[in-house]
Amino acid sequence: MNVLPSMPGAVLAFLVATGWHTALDANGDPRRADSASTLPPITAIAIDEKNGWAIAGSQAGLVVRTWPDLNQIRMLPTHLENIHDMALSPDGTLLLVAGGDPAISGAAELFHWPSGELWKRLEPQADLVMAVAWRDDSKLFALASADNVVKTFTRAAAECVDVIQGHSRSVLAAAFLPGEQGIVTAGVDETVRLWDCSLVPSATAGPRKTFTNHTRQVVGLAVRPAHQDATPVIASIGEDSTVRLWQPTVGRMLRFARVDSVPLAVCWIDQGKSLAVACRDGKVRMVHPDTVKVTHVRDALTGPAYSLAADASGALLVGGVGGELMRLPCL
Amino acid sequence: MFQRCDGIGRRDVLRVGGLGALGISLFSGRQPRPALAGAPRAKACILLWLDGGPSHLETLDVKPDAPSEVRGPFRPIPTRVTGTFVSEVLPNTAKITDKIAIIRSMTSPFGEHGLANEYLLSGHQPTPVLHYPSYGSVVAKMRDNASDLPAYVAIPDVDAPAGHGFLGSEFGPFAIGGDPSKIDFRVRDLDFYPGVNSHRMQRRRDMVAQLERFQRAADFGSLTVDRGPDSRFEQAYRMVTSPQTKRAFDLSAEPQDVRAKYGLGFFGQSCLMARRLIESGVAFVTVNFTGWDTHDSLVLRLKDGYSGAKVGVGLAPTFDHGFASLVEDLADRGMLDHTLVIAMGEFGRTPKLNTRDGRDHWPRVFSLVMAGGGVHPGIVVGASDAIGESPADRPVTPSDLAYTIYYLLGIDPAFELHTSDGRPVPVNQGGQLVKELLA
Amino acid sequence: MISAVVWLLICGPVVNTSSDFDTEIMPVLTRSGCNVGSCHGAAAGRGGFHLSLLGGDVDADYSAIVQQFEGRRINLAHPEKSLLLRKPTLEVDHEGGHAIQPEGAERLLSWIAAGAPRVRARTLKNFECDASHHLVEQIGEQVALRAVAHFDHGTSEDVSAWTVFVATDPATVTLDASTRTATILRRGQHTIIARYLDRVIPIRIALPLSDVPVDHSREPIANFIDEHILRTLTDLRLTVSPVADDATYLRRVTLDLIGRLPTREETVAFLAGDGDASTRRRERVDRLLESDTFAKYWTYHVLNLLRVVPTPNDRHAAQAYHTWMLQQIRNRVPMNQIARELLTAVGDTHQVGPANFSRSSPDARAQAELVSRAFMGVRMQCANCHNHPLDRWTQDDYHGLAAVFARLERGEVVKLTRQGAVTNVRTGERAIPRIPGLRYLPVDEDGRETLADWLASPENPYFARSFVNRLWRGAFGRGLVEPPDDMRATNPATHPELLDHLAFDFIEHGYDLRHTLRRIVNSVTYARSGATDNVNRDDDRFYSHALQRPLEPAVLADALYDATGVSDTYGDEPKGTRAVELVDILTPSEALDTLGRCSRNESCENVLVSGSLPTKLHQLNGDLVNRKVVSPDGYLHRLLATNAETADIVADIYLRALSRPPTDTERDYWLEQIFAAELDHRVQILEDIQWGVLNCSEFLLNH
Repeated sequence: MNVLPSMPGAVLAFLVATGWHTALDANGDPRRADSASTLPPITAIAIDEKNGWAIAGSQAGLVVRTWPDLNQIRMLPTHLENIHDMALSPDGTLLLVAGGDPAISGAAELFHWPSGELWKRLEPQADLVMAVAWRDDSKLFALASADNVVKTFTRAAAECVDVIQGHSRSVLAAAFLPGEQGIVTAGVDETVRLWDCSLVPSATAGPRKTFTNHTRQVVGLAVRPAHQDATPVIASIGEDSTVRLWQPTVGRMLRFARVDSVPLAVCWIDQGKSLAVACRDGKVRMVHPDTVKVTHVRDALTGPAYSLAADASGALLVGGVGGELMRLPCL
Repeated sequence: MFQRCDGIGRRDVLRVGGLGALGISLFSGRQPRPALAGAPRAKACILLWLDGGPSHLETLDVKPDAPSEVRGPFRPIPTRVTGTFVSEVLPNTAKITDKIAIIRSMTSPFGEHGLANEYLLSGHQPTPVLHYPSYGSVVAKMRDNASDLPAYVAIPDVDAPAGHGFLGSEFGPFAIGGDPSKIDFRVRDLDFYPGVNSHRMQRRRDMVAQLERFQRAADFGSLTVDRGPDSRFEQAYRMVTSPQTKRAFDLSAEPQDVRAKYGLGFFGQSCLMARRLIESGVAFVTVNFTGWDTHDSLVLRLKDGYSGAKVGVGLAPTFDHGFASLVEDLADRGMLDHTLVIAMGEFGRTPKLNTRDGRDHWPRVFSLVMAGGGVHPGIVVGASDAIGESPADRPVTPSDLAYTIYYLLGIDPAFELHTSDGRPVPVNQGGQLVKELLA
Repeated sequence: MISAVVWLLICGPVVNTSSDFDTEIMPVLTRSGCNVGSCHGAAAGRGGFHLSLLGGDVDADYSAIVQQFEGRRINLAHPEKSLLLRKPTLEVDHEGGHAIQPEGAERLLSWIAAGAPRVRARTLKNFECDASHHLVEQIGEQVALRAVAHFDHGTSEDVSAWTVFVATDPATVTLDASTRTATILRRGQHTIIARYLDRVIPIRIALPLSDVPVDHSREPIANFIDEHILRTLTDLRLTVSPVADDATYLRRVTLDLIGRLPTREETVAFLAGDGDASTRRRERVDRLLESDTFAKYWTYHVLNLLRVVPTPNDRHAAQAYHTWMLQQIRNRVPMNQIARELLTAVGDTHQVGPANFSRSSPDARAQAELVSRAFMGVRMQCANCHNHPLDRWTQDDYHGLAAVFARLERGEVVKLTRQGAVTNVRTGERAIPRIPGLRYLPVDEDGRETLADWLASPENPYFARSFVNRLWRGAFGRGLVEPPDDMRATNPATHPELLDHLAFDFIEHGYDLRHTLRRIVNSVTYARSGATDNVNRDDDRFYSHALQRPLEPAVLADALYDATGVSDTYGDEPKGTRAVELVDILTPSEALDTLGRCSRNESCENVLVSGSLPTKLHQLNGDLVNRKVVSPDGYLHRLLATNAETADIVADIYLRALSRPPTDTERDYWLEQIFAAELDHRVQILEDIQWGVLNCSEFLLNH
């Protein structure tokens, strides 16, 4: 809901310059979900293009809004104290939301979609679930936790299949490779690892591959949408201010880009032709995956942009500090 | 005359200006050994000091199931004690685990060499206010030293953390200098200078004593001069006038096969020397084995010793030969029961391997090994977590270790030592007995 | 525009000083002990939560608390559920236990409820403790501790509740954190450190060493040194020992000023001299200060301080360095000029003596550490990995100082190149050259000149203070600050006003080494005897009497030569070379090896001598002393060869070694020993007497 009537351009410019005003969209109108600055940051978002919705999660709860206008529709009741990631299953029938109670438990809730009715509540971890992921056939999902463990579950009954132990510290990101090629995880121990997984418990104990190129924590992963190459490519972002591209099944890092602000969230747009990276300074940087150059730096929020999602057209939704939520139209 | 805060008048432990360094103090009245419950058995102690911080993950606490960036290059091997494993580079130690105790949950806050050395070698957390005496110096002070040999010997030498601290240089270690493995090794100056015999030496000693008396009696009015007989002088005199001294330091008296078993390098021969010294009545020997600060090249430094070595001669195999031979030799001679042997360093090393195939300092959890002197054989005390990062069970601080060491040696940890200005300092502060270690 | 104002009112951020992160929340973390080195302040953090050590990096701490892991540590929707609160109050398992007080928890809660903002509402301008000195009367007395912070905009606040008070010696002062009182348990001078935000300051508390007041009002005063010393002794109720006799004074001042024993002739002349004692002593001091031996000895001293490590086998470089320094000292070049030269010289180390200073450090960091140690009296190395926990130095200071020297190439020819940089470990980037604690320097300019100017300027507080402290230490056996290379606010001088006065006097008189030494050795304090009474016997730092000091190895080696007339060999040096005049500190020498030579790899300030058992064994059985007493070239045997009177021989031994004639009692005793023996044994007895003298404490010590 747009609570702020339009105002004289000069005043607006003044307010923006002094930092008193927050998110603006490309038309120069203020876009804020709420006017107070005590709102918790938006730390998980998802776009349901089919139904024209955008869902945002924070310590204040789960809010469903219209997409692209971001008008609030309703709140989904949730028991999650913190929400750190969410994802709609590829077949659109389940919304997986996860987080938990820091240092106490990691939990996830599965909502039937689009009804929004709660289907299952899981509390399988000892600390926050920081990342969730769906396999592309929607039959398997994963919860990656700050307790160093990643668990996979069947969609059918939400039953645990694998307990992936190997990270020596909190796991912050997870992403399935297409088909049965496995799952990639990454986290505070600065590694990116590839594991086998399937609907039956895995026989192999350790990761198939481990990459140690990042020099600080790895905070995000995104699998490139199917491209001409059959070999999957994945992007990782780290606190070392790099964006790295890998071919995990082959076992190598392809190239990397440096960005000027610590990246916090990453997603591909345009069928994998460009990477969007949301950063701690509130800006979104567009990175060309082949040249690894930063092609655009786009203002979005006034502070850390923790969450990022894209729709099919390439428009971006950015969420972060102070409950700010911002839509960036496609370039 | 001012009183000490416990109201007892000043004793005759004097310090004079900067004289502590010269060892000039009156002999303090030897404290009677306080009675302790139970019968501590150790009469002497050998400390094998592994300077630099040996990696627990490559020696006593191997983690084969840890992630690859933690695991390390060595596999664990089974030992004499079922269920206890040590690193593959310690095969001789593996054969004697039934005689030793391993602690895997040592924990300390100090990751810097200086502070960590001070803590581990004295059992007191370092402070800028005082220099605490090390184990050897406390033992030297507390023992009735009937022997003409110094009570505390260091091979080849040690730094201040293993020294006398506020007890004064009278209780510092006698550093023998040199390398016992060398053919021409000898402790210098044990033979009289040509033209001097024991009669003349005695006369000289008496003259020095007389000169000191003249000084003290000099007329300063109502004041006194605090310059006393030099205790180091007395110790040196006793050493050179005793026939036992040279014998104790002479390794050529040992059969060659025994020497070979210990290992013919510095460390092996030093262990052998330590055994001889204990036999001769020395109460505490520290062997200073440096080089364990392996920030790089674990395999090269810990196992191989040099590039392309077919038989490993690095730090670990060297330690393994010396340590195992020492324990076995002591056992064979019936000495193990009353000789406490400790092998340790100041901290462990980082679970995560660094970029140079090495590990960096890690005091949060580390391991050590003890044997003899009443230590329970064949056990493991405590455990670290899955990646060797923190104690998972039964953390033992260096203060706890110190308490236990003193207990085994029959020294009351609550006994009060005094600094030169009369401040009481208990032998141990804040430690608790590690009961599991007692036989 | 009215609508604009309305806009501003509605949308403006709320500035609430009670939620100022920098000055309200950071103290809570420090006061609660969260950021100490054994907990979250450790380099690796604890439990995945890393705070800067003792609050040194506010930006990083804010980010760790508010932003890390998408804000898991604070809950803006339900502030009371924040992990930041639940852990230290033990609502959730916390290895650190219950760490936080209710007031601290309240502050955190209201800050989180305000949105966990970072508003930087105010800056700390000054922090002080009220009072900074206390004098108490008896054991068990309590002192209330109070601290005040002054912020910009003129506001002040009592921040006692948020200041961390730590006694440097908990056995002498116990602190009750809740009432903020210190209880004094032992007599003496004690220090409590007060820490608030990034400031650390000392509080000094003194409890007199005796119950009996002393009156020093009639004590003679030669200069300001005596005034300061006597004032402190009066406060502490310490008695003073009388001034030492002529023989003692002569020996002491000769050793201290020129590093050798007085010759027999000098001794006899001085002791026989008439006129007023203090005039005689002052004249002797003047002559010693003018002598060339003084210059040679002080060359040795200053080079020790600067840790000149000659490159092995490069004798030319060592010679050039030595020659240059000797010339500076001979020519009375001001010490700050010497320092300047050392810092900025480049060139061929065989020709340009001072260039060796830069060569002696392996790299820029080592040089920064040497410079701060030698010229500032500061141990900067702690600030390599984190801000110095006990002082004001930051990592930027450390790496910035190293950066000043980064472009030097340190070969046989020291030169300034165009590249070379050090990485600032904190930022991961190239370190910007910096005058520590002051300001950055332009990146591509040679900062050494600017640094040297700063160091040499009268406004620089470090150089003069550290230098006079070392001079004092050399004369008294203990610096006003100990250790002398660890001068910091939290390690206060025993006599801060005296130190400042000495430094000021040194600067005022052109940084003249001789001037300050003259002040010191002419003072009554310096001249006091080493004998003590019951009251001042244990005083080791207030100068109520002279402390006994072991002789340095090189000085002792030379003293043995002077006492016996038999020299040692030093490598290929000509016979009769003195140890303190050696150009190359590593010249082979059995004597110096035995006595414990200073290798200059570590600081030479703490060389122990003659204390170790191997040294004693060598003194007993080795060449060092034994060879000299039997040598036909020595004074003893030469006198014997002239058939001198036995009493004269005994007197000669005493005069040369102990700088005094034997007393009647002593002389009679030794003569008795000699004549009681068989004729052909008497020589041996005399040798043994000389041997005994050379091994007794009166010889081995500077007393």
